[in-house]
Amino acid sequence: MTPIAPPPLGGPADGLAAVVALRELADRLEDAQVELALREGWSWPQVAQALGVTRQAVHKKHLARLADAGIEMRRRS
Amino acid sequence: MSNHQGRSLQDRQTQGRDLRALVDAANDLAARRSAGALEPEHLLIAMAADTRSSGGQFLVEAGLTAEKLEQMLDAERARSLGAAGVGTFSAIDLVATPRRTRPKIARTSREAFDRGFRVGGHAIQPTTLNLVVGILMPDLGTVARMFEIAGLDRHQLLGRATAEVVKGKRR
Repeated sequence: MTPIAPPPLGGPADGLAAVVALRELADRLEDAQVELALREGWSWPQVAQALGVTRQAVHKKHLARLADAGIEMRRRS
Repeated sequence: MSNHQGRSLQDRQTQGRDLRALVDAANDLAARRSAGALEPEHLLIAMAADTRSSGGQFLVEAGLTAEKLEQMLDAERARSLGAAGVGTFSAIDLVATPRRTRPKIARTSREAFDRGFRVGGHAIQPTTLNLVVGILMPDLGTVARMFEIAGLDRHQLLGRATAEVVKGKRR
């Protein structure tokens, strides 16, 4: 099969770029919404439950940056 | 005498500092955008924000300021999300305190360094302008799409950057 030189826009290029953009958007949205939930008084276990992950996983990913932001956090639901 | 031999140790130390400072600034940008990895587009934007570097000077002289490049990245993401049927979110939905962990350097960024630093051969002490070349080379991916969507001629810019690296015009 002769190799093709696909264009950067349109067709599969748009679909593959959508995968990249969706991953980035999911990360940005998670960061923003976890922070919002904690600012509104949610506990870590509640955030973890809503995301369908363990409390340890949420802690590991977000604790440092949110502690820096001075958010008062509830430990238990 | 080659360009490399003609340059002082101070020049090379300055270039090393430029590259380290660039990676630090690009990491901050990637963290601010909640990116999982340090991608070439982050390096390009961070470079344009520092006009003391050879790469930054080149980009800004070509009209590519950090602000303009970040707008181009946003436009690329909006188009890509649109392809998946996802509309743009309001800015407030995405406001977050940046992550503290340094994003890992993406394979695409490592390849951009490798490609760019090969330009000009061993006679050239690599600078951030080499990295511009390495970032602009691929015909697919985010950076190529950013230029295509903005209607900018990436090949022409790549040609100019490559010529300047080979001539050793900027340090």
